[in-house]
Amino acid sequence: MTPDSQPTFRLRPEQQAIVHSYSGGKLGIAAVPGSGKTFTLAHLAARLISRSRLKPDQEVLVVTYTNSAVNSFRARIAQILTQDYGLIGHIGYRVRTLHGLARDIVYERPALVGLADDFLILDEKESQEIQRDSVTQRLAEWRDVLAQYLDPEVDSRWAWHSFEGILPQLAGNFIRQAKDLRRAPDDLLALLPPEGTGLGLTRFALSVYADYQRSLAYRGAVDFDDLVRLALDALEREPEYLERLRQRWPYILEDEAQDSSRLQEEMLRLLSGERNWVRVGDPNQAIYTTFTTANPGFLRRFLDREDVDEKPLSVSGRSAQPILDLANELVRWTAEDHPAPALRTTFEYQPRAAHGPVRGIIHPTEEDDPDPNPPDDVCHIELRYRPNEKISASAELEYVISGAEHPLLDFGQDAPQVPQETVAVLVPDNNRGFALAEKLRKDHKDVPFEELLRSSMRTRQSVRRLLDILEYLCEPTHPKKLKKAFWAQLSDERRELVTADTATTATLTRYFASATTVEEFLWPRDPGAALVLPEFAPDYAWVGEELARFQTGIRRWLQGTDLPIDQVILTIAQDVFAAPADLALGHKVATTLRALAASHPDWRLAQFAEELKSINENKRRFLGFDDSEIGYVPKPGVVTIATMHAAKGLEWDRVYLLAVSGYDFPSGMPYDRYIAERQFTRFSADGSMARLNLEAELLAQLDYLVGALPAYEEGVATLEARVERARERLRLFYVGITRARHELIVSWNSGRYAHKGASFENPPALPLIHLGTYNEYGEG
Amino acid sequence: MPFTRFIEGPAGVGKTTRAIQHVRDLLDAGARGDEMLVLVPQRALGWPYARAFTDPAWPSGTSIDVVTLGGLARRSLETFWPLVAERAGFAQPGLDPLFLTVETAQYFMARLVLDAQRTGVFDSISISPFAIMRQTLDNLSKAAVSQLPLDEVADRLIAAWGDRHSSRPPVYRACLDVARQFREHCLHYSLLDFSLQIEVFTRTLLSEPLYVRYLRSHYRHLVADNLDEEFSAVGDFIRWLLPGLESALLLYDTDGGVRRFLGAAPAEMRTLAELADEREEWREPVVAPPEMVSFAEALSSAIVPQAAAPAALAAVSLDQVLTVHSARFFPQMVDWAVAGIAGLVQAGVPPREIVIVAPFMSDSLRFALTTRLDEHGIATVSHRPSRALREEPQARVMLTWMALAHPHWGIAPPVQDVADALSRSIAGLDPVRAWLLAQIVYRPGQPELGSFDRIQSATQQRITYVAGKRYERLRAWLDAYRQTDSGDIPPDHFFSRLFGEVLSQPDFGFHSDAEAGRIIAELVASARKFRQTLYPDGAVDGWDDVLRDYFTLVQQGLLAALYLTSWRDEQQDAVFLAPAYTFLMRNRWVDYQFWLDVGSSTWWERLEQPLTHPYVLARECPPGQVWTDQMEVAARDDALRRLLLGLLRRCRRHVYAAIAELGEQGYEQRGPLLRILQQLRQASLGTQP
Repeated sequence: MTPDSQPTFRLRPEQQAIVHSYSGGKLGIAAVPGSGKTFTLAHLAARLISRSRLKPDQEVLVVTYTNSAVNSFRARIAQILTQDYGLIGHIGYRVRTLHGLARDIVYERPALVGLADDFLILDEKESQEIQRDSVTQRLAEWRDVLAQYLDPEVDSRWAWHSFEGILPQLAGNFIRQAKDLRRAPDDLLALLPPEGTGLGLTRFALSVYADYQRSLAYRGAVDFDDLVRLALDALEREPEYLERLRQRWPYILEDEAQDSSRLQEEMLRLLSGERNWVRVGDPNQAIYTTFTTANPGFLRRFLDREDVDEKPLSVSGRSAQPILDLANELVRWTAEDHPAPALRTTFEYQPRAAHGPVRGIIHPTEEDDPDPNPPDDVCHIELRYRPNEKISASAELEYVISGAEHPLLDFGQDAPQVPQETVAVLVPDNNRGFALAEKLRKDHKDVPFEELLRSSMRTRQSVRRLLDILEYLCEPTHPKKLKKAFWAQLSDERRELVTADTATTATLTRYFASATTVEEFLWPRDPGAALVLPEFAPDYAWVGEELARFQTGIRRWLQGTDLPIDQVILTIAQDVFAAPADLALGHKVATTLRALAASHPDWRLAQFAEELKSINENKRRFLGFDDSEIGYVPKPGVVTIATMHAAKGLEWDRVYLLAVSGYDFPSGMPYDRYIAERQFTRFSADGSMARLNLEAELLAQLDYLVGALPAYEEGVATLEARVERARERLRLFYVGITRARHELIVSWNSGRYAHKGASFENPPALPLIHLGTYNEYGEG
Repeated sequence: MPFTRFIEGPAGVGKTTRAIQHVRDLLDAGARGDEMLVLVPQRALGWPYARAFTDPAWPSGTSIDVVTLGGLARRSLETFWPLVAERAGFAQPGLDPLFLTVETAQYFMARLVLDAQRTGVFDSISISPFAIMRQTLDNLSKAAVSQLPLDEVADRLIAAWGDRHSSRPPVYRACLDVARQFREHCLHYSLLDFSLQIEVFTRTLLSEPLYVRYLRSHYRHLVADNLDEEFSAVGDFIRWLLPGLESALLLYDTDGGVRRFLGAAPAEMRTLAELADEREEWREPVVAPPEMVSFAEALSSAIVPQAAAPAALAAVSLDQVLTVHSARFFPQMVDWAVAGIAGLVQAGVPPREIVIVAPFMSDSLRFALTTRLDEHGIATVSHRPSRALREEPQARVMLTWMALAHPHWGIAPPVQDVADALSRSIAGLDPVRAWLLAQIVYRPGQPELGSFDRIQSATQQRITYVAGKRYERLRAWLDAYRQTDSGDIPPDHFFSRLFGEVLSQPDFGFHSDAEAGRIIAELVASARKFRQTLYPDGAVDGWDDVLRDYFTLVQQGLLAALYLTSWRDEQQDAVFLAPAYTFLMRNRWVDYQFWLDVGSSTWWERLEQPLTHPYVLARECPPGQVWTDQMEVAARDDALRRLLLGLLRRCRRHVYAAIAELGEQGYEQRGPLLRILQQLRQASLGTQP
């Protein structure tokens, strides 16, 4: 294929207008869900690489927000370059997450920002542990000050205990925000008014912040938030370096720009030199705004700038028309009719192109579209809301599994015909997902499902195997753990084969049971009396070889448990893994644990096993090496259980949205309850009858301290946070709806504590009520 | 003036061979071996001489000094100490000098740095105390080798950042304070770290008439090899020494100077040529084939266009000398390299003709390569930098017993450590039985180990009576020590006794373990140096605190074990694994080179440290120089060019370059070397018919 021939993939007119007409300058794109923004951006990147005559040391820089997005971007650009332009697939561009990019910048000139070349990047878990330690140490000193935030009417022991539990998180939010403001502990300390003038929470958080930074410095480490801040410092301090990077990256394409924070935007602004900067995002899908530094306002302001060319991506072929209508109605209703006026600016909504392109409306595809909307006749919408009807939390699960018109049982292996569709149950939080998974596991074994609630399956399986072996090595006399280690040593395929054959499994069980003790199994006193390997059926003769291999392997691993941890892991990984991705994961685990060992000289196998468990449970994430190489791909016939947040960027034929209640999706109504206004905090002094939202109050105190607020008035931030929370949840609901291709089932429940009385009941979310009416009676 | 010849040329043109022949000619002409001084920048660069001089064909009975300036300084100071001690400012001239290694210098430095750090002076930078310590020592060394006053180090570093870092000057001053305190301590106790050895030698001893007479009458001939890697102080020394010699042969590698990050001053050293009676420029390679030379030139001009003549790529068929392989994951890259090496060895290539280099060789990578090659029966030899003592399993065993021998410290090792210590200490006790025994006899928090005799007989049987008996002997030793000597002997004595009286005896784990013996010897030496450095006059109230201090420093990873491979090790028929710079410092030639991790930007990035700076601390850099990004890039480009030229000129047949798209840490790699190789490949393809 020559550069002038037609691309393999047909672009829609809007996409063409972007890909073929852009040659430079600032371009803003407000994209609706399913409009193909990654696809368009990848084509644009490929075209720029082929047409803009980059020098050998120049690259198109593509920035996005998740590692899996990096991988899919890279794969897509490589494919387009090869197939459509006949170029080498991996030259001329660089795809990075924002943190990855910041790391690149700092890593190239670490001394500029006071780091050594071998600086460590602590992940969130490690950072949180340091912060928790500091909170624990500081608690006694600050007890009197902090106690002033508790409700004197509630049981003080319970209140204090609960308060203690959230303090590390409060301090963590404070630290993140302070870093976003680029304020070091010393700067803030200098701004503090004299003792006794309030801001107690801030004084406490600041002491933790100072401890934390000292602790990072001692380790020669930085955290994720430091990366962007330090990258910015480096660029500002060394204009020549900045200029060099500008030369290196003449074009910057930014995806998911609605999730950008002030610092991140500033970093890209500097790097682009305001020259060739393309920002794509959907402000209506900004779902990470509460107590984070992300803000869709940055993208909006960019789109509104006069020197920015705005182009729409408003056509989406993802969902059937009735589902698009529902999503559009949610936006319209919120903008025009929401009973809480403060929420009417939640969505970007320009139905008429008064000041530029239409924003916030999803348009269906044209007739000849290569990827058209599913037809209306296969569309099914079920909004489980009836006035005055209550539904308990467990009844909601029953409803989804078996009571709905299109229930999950459709996917049971016992169903007359299992649909070959993709299906997801999306929940507002992990706990609701665990409850459903538990119920399916217990009562509906025939419904296959996978949880997207933690890390990906593949990583978990591989890390699990390492973990099982490590757990045995921590307790080498434990026979059950020994057996588990044997299973872990088997490859996935072989394990499945053995599990499928009951005779082989039974032989193995007998064999392990026949060893009187583990030491006799591994190191018999009398080698002549060693256990004889059992006989297996001819098809399973290899199991005997696996057993022999296991005995040799485990002896070797046991003899090496006092080696440095990376060598322990590498030895095991090299013995048990065959797939390249698994081996690479093993190598990464080894180097990660090795880095941890440097800052925890007292750690032994047991602590490292705990860490592996954290990785397995996704409490510790790997920067730069995602769980999934290509991101999650839903499997037909298998139910995906995921949070609505995790579902972003994905789509399924059928989608269930659960727990769409006033608690999870508040609407700024007086009767709404808010998760961040905890039962143990006292009521605001302003008489608003709101319990203090400590996160919001703390950040407001910080804003006041740095002069971003003229005054700090207790309670104001709590009320503002209510609005912000309601906005974010409206957008989350929108994201949930727009995941469905042609079937959408939405339900709610009255909560776990409904039995305690009306004030504990969760009402259905206001937008659900409205959409229920809309769906039933149509517009008006 | 002597007859001085200056030979300049790239690596692989036969300069060192010529120098060895020169020495031989001098000997044949009647000169004595001990009248010759062979000066090299690093011990390893002297190995070709050491090998030649020990060759059976070499005249016997010739003892020729092959030394570095540091080695010469040390030896001279040892001998002439009474002459200089007082003049050089040592407070107790009667105290014998103790020469510190980098590791032992850290013992005292660690304490100073930790004290300074507690005051918050280093808060505006984020580096570990270990790194502060290393960089402060580095500044001392650089000041010495560039012959700069200490104050100027801080001034130069402050100036380098210009007005970009208002927070930096106090940090550099704090660093200078720590360096001064360290220096004072050394002067007080006659301790000589590398910087003080050089300074006392160059500033004091070389102006001591007696020594000058001795030196001038002793050496008549000088050979100085790899001058491009030498420090300013060496240049000064050669200038000082030359007038009294009969002959001097000075050798300079045109594109060498890869040690600039350590303070080498290649441009300044090249000016020595001005002193020569005869200058020769050698260009004809005797090692690398023409294709490799063309490849090297093309690579050089792709990095720094003005540095070399226009590349003659048209004439190069890159495939003859270069194979590039791209793997997605890091271990796949390692496997590819291992398979390639296995293939070569199978085809009859001796392993010593193969080297694996990477810009940075982590312990994990080294381990992965060694074990995989081992599976193919291919031996490896590796220069491993020192690593923390606590990471050596045998050292950990000793530390565990040390903690248990001093229960009043309140340090309870984890059960796993006790199980590991039992398993390694008692011959025939496997890890499972050791674990079982540890679970029963050891309770963290309880001062003493339980008796084997009190264990239920069924469990005794499981552990075996033989092992039980041996355990009891070990326990009895610990008991006896606790009762009689606890805290009364220094740490090195403790280790020596435990090893000598128990662990090296028959029935114990280290009895026939040569590796353990070597590591324990390192440990004893480290503990002895620790004692001598911190308590040089032995004036302590009791050794208990010292023992405990030592234990804590090792646990914190602040003390390291040193491993130095010798040229005899590297003579083995084994594949050599090393960081690229280390390989160059061996000055070896091989048939095949495997370059790993070619996509990594660390090929190009220097080890950038916030508290030190090799370029602005070089004497050739004008004081007050602001170090700009442009200079940084030019320095890195130049370093990469020199590095690659150095590698290619030491390769006789073929380079295998391996790329891992995702690096060791999982990051996508887009380093400059990858880009340059791709550029060359494309250019090469473009010239193919």
